[in-house]
Amino acid sequence: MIIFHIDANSAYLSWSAAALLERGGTLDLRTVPSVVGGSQASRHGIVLAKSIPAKKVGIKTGESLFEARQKYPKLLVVPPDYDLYMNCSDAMYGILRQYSPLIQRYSIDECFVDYTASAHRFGDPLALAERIRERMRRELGFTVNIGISCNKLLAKMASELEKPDRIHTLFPEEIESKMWPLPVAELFMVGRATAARLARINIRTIGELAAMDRHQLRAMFKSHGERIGQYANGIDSSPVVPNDRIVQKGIGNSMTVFYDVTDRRELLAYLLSLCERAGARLRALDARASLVSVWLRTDAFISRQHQRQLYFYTDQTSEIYRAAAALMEECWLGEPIRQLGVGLGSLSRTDQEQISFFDSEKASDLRSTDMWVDRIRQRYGDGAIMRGVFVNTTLKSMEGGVNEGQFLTMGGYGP
Amino acid sequence: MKIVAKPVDAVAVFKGTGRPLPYKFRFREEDGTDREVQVERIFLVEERRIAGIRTLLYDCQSAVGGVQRRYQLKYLIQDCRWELYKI
Repeated sequence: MIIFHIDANSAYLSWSAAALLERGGTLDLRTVPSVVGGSQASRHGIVLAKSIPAKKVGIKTGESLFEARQKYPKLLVVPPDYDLYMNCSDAMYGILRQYSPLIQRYSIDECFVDYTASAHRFGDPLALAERIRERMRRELGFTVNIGISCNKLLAKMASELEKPDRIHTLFPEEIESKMWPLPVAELFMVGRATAARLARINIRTIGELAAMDRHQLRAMFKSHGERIGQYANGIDSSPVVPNDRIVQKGIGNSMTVFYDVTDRRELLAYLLSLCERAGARLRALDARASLVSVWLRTDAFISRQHQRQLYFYTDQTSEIYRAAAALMEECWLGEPIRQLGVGLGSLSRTDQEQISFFDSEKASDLRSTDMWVDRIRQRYGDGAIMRGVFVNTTLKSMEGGVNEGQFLTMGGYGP
Repeated sequence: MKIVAKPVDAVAVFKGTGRPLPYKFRFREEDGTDREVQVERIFLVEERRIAGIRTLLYDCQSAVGGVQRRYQLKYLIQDCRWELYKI
């Protein structure tokens, strides 16, 4: 197997930069400290992407624009343009498709290409990667990193080795020299929490993780432990699953309440209004979810999150709410709450369905109720039809943002 | 040549097949006067996709104020509009 992983370098920023140049701008955002960040007018929002000079002055992705400006007052901030990013992503996919039919659009700025069957036609993978890299730069005006290996995991690790505009290989015989010396947090699927727990038992590099006993890993991290143990050894058997549309991996809605909620019924009503919004967005995507999570923040700024894997897929507001309410009961200890959110994950497309023995007979009735409620709201506004609990209260029947249009993130976890 | 990237009013010939050809265009000069230019020669057409934005770039030449000048016109396919790109 020969797998390529193609990753656009600081995607949002370089796409915005290339578009600005193409539209007659004279300044290349990539050469000065600059970031792509939420609405500039309202002076808040977070850093979505940063240029390499911005990185050098200590600006981090995810921090607030306010913090970033304190580090560098003359920082240039450009608003995100999701239509442009979608176009760039499509253009990138368009070039890759000329070399292989097996392409997985992993996120808006990353693709996996299975080159195995195309090798006889286009020859040496390294020479082809060079050609792709050159074409991206010349034809599309931005640079990419390309990782080449025999499976997806190693290809992805390879493309992250040194940036920007580089090609790296990471075949099994190179793991020891190229991957094992890296800090363990660099490994795919090892996040902040896992890295911190590993540091406690003196596991600091990927090599040390690779040498760990798999039973011990399993004892510490359950199935996730076994997976990262395999990843550390470069083992990954997942195939390149072709998809021409980028798949959204989750939906989340959250809100900050303008006072601190202490009443259980009120809290659950807020949760329900978030479920209404998240459910409507889920149905608009033609998807169902089987992972429900609830997140809250207390008046003392303590955050807690609980999640549950359902044994079925659902797109019904009531089902989502039932799971979310149970989770809320689990993680709420009665303290005043200022912020809460609900998340839906493990999505599946509506046209594929696992039928469950335990589906209630009412399921299809509820499904059509949700559909009609969605339609009425679409035509007459969100407040046109609401559940009884919201009548004669100050609560809104739907809470949380909608993200008009394509709102896809970069990177991210998921199978 | 220098990038100006100014939107212009244009008349173009859309052939049954093939790419549209600019015929003439009008743009506003710095001093506020409108100037109309007849596209006399097209040397080269290039299809571009910088930043995923599909454009056609025309290398042209016309007599402007009695002097033959080279310039580039750009057609933005998605926006359906013309720009004087470089002069």
